[in-house]
Amino acid sequence: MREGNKIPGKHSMPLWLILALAAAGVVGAFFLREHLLALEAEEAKGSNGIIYAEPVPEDHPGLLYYEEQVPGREIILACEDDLTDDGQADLVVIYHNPEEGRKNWMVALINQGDGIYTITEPTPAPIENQTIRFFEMDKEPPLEFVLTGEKDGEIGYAIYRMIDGALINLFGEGMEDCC
Amino acid sequence: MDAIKRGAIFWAAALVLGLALSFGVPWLTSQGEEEPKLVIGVGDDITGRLTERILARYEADGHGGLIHNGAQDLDSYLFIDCCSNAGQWSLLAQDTDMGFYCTHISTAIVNQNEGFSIYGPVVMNGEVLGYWKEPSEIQTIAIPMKREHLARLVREGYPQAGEPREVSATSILYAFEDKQVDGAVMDIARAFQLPQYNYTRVCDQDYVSYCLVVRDDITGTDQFQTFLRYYNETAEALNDRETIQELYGMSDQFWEDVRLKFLYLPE
Repeated sequence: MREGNKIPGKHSMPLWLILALAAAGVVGAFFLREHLLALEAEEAKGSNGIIYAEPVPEDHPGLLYYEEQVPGREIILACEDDLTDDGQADLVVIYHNPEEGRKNWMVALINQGDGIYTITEPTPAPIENQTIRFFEMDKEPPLEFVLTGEKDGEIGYAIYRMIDGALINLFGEGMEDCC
Repeated sequence: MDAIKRGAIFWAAALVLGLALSFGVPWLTSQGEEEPKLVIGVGDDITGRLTERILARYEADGHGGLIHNGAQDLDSYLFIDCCSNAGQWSLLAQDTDMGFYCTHISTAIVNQNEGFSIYGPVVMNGEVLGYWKEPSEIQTIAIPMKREHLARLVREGYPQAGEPREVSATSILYAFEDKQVDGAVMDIARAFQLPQYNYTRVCDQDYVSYCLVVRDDITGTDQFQTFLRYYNETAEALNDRETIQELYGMSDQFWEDVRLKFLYLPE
């Protein structure tokens, strides 16, 4: 008996198996391509290329301050940036008062430092799908932000700027239908 | 070479062939297709002047087209008035891919049709008040048709004038020149045609006049991103007082009063 000397076997692959594998390869590649195209289409459909502000966590000091000053409000969305060009992060808060009907409000919390905030007068806010985007639309301080949202399919769009301690809408269209 | 190796090679070749058929053939066929053109709809107003400057910058650029040298892949479509049916239909029918619209129509388009977004505001304080009497004494005032946002500003700013009269955007200048009204709110580009009259800003507070409305599926394209760069460069240039005065004339006092501002779009 010879050790370590393997005799080549005649384990040839049947022709039908080779053809099946080849077909599987072509079909597999085709479905891979379709999958990639579908992913690309889904990405394009779900995005309009606009990046929105991230919400702050529930334990954000500004939110805790607000809940202390105005208890019993359901916070829907809160995002932060410097609205007054004083180097301190302010907060935009969209909330719902459970004692009211189908109505939401928005306030800005202007950071005065040492954990103190000035709260602006409430202004109506969209009922659903609220988004906030901070941006420098004229490259001059203060910062503006875009508020969008919906009510029963009616889209609202507004651009706010802090002027003399109040949130002023520079756009003024559509919010009456979605708030 | 044993049969297993031959089988493996065959299998690998089949896979490569499959990939080539699935990805390579579509890619090769797409090479012959014309690069899509980005068409922007504009009214005969300050956004039309802005677009003229964007296209002039685009053509003067040594790189040629937005994507390829020499390619004409950015063009404009003039619809006279953004509030006209033609203005809206051109976007909905995909004759244009995006357009500059007043705030009222921008909101209406995205509300009534899926797949469109307001990408951002583009012009602030884009209208002026032409007046024959001191603004505080105006009794009759005209505004362009369908400009709900201007009607609201006029009601708040000139309560003594009563309900504003709506006149088509193209004839408001003539209604003003014929003194059919004491004052007329008009696009700032109309005032460039009759620089001899008195103009001032519509209200003390800044407000947005025009927005860029886009079809959502273009925002991820290279052409759109490059358009944004051209747009922002042009806005920066036109925000320079000397540059805009050189282009459109008008007095120092006019530019001081109206506080026209071209806004920047996120890239």
